[in-house]
Amino acid sequence: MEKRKETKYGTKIADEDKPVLRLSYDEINVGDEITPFTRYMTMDMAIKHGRIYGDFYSGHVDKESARKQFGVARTAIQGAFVHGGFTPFMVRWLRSEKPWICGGKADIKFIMAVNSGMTLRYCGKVIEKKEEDNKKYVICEVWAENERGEKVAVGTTTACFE
Amino acid sequence: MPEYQAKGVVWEDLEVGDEISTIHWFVTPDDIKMAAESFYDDNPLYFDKDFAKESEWGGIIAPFYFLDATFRWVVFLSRGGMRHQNHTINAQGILESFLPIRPGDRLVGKMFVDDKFVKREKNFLTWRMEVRNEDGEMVARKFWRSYWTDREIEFPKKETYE
Repeated sequence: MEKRKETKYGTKIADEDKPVLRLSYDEINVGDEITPFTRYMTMDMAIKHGRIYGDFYSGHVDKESARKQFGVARTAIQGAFVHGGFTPFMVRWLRSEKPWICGGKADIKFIMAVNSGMTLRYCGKVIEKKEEDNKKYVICEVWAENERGEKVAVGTTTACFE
Repeated sequence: MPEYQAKGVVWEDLEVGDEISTIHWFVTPDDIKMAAESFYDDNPLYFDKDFAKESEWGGIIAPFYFLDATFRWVVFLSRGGMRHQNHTINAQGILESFLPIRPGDRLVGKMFVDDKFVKREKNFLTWRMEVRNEDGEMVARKFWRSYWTDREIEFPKKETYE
């Protein structure tokens, strides 16, 4: 068993001399699967999200408006909110924000309404690695699917390594 | 473009290259925390000063999707004294992050009409939003494409006491 650092009372603690583990460009291979990330969608999320841009009337926050906007009396979660889920998905896989914040890209197409009550599963895999202008890029095919396995958003994400 | 406001902006009014409005934003820790909360992202890097100090960034940074919380196209429209007349449905979002955003940054965002086209008898429009810091460096960019329906939004009426 690996020897752990411990206090004088015998409590095992993290060894701060050890380097923090982060995925590097060289550790990532084409075909690697990205750890899935699950998120439950609720109407509260859409309402709270709507407050940041002053939405108190659209089909994202009001069922009657949803009927007129989308043709169904169920509030649809904002596309930007669905898009935003790709951030924790990528950051948790990379174990670092750096390749995501400094040169990262998310290109997502919305192909189906996401309603409150759905459970989204963000999935993806690495499809390409390339070097351009002294930077290294990892390109991933990504999608979010609902609890029935229907894809609701598809696209690519790019992580950038110095 | 004040003439848009009287009747609400419609797809036909907008021309590729139109500059819609500019938003100036002095970033505070609360703005970043609010963005993370509105996306239900519990990563403490976005709101916990002590955690962030120990991170590779040495302090709080904004999440990748910060632009989606603060520089949304409807906000650009309203800052320009406009609103859209018809319901829109999200089609695609491309978000790119180039540099970290930190509390104290003074950001300037501009929104342009990047593209518009008709596909399968549907009117599509792409906004381009560019956010730069006080040094003029681009920190984030977003392309947001929507399908503009012909169904008019019924904005809430102002209450009267007649």
